[in-house]
Amino acid sequence: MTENVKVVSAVELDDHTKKRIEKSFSQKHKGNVVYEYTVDSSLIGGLLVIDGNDYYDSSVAGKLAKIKRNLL
Amino acid sequence: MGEIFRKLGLSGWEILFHAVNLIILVVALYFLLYKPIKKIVSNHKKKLDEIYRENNRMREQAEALRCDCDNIKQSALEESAAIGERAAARSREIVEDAQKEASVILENAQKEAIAEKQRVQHELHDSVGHIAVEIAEKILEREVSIEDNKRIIDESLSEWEK
Repeated sequence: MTENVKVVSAVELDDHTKKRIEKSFSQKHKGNVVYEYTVDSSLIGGLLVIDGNDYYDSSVAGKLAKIKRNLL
Repeated sequence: MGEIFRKLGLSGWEILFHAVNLIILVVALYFLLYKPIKKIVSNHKKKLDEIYRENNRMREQAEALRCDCDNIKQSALEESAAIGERAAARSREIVEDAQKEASVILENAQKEAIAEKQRVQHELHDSVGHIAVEIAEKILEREVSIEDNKRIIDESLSEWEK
């Protein structure tokens, strides 16, 4: 069974970083994993990984949004 | 006796005549004068009695009316005093109710003012927070370098690898 993992970054990722990401997330899956890399400058910095129903958000935009929510 | 009459020049028949005259006169006076006058006097007396009785009756009526007037006057005075007391009590009630209502209105106004102040403070806090975040966003868009980005990614991956 093939599973999709979407990786969004603010800038283009180098191969070393991609390998680290794939190594980290492949441990969580038993079958094949297909990685989809996208660049979105609105993240400002950091990463957003969407693994099925799980979100891993270390982007600057995500942190700012969390601060905004906490201020409400 | 006869001699005395002869010396006075009176005869028996003249004396008798005069006596009968006298009797007739008295009788005539009785019927023509005394009885009518007596009747008139009696009628007058009856009228006077009636007038006195009527006078007494009217005096009694007047007295009774005077007593009624006094009673009515007393009742009116008492009623006016009672009305005055009720009016004073009612006016005190109205003043107390108005004071209570004013206190409630003032209290509600103060609560509203406090709530409004808190609402404005929250809005201001939120607005300031949003503006601060937006400013931070704008600054970071300009200031985050490639090295900073790499560092953030490395830190995140180290965290997820745990």
